[in-house]
Amino acid sequence: LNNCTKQGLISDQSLDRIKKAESEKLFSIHWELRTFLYLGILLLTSGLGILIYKNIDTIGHQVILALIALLCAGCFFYCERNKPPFSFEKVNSPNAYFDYILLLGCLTLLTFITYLQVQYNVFGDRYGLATFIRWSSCFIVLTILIILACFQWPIANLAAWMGIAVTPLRIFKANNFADAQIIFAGLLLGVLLVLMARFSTLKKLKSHFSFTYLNFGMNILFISCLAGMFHFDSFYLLWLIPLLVLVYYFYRQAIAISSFYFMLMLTLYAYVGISYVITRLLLLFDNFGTTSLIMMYFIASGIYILLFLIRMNKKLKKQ
Amino acid sequence: MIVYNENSLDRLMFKEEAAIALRRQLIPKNEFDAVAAANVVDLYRPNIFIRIGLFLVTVVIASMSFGLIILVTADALDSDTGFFWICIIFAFFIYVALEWIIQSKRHYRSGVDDALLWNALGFIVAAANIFTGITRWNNHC
Repeated sequence: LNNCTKQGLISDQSLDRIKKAESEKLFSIHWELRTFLYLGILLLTSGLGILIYKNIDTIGHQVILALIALLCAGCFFYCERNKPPFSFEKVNSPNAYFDYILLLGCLTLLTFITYLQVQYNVFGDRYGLATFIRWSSCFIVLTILIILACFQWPIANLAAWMGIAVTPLRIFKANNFADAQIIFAGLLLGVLLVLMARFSTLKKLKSHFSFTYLNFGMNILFISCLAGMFHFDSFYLLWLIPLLVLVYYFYRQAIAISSFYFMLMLTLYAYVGISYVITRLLLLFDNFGTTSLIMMYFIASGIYILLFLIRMNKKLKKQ
Repeated sequence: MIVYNENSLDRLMFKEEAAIALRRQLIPKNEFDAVAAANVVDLYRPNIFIRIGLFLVTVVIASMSFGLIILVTADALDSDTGFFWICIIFAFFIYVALEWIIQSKRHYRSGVDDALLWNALGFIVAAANIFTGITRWNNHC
């Protein structure tokens, strides 16, 4: 600092100001408080869940359901009373607690619906229970997301994250690779989200959500595409086409909004997909040299991706 | 001993401090520009996402190179000492690559140098493990 002043880069007044600011610096606990609030709600819901689960015999299902419904209704009632007026632009929440109470409301609503389904099978097994739960969780969350997006609640970001994050996780965890249906459902959902993103930007309806939509759309689309590639064993070459189309589309998007994040994700997904295909093709020649060939491929392609990322970094930075 | 060019690191620090001061409106914009112009940073520091990507890709390259070496020297794996020497030599090569990347390519926390550093350390630890007999390679075969 003194160096800079000596060189005449910073004026003496500025130096004084900086020194003064440094000496009476306030320690901000804003984010700490927010984190605690957020954690508190998460812990409260999970703790209640465990407590109720342990005492399920003495309490009874109806009471629990009523309690959850009451809590949920209370939360939404509070939000309804305090919500800022509707607007298609970004709306700031009226006070610090608003977001969290809304979050609590959403969580309890989800719990309520799941509870109903598990205990009383309210939504029935019209489509066969197994597929239905999968579909319903997906759809209920999506509906909530849409409602929230329409009602301009800023935390819809978070709700979207929690809700949809479950779906791709399920694809891996429940081993639903074997289920062709969920792959196509994923593709559909992804396309829908991308279209929503486009729509909201074009019409300036809540365009600050468009990143969230696009983000989930991209991840779900790519994961479904790769899952399709791994699942439909004999058609893996065909799946390369949608993958490349997606890569092209999101590449254009990433350049357009100069997003490093999209660039990285599409590079990694494309790399996985293309490497899979090339490895499969190399394995067709089944002899001793294949393994070394595959490793050489990975080294060469890795170096190429390295250079590609460095070049993209420069390109995006320039914009 | 610091491999990174100390001058560059100092300049980077000045610039970052000035940016913080600018954000808190302690110095006017023209002073920040003057500081930035006087302290041109020649280090390669990509965006955090690109850094993650570079890290992953570098790990892939390093592990595939290791696999290739293992394939070529498959006979050496019969003994612990053979594997020990492969690890040591490989760690050495990675370290040389790291120094090269930092000195001539001026990478600074770019993902590539992170990955190479971790890999070099990992292989040294692996070699130490085998040497001291904590992990015996042949038992796993």
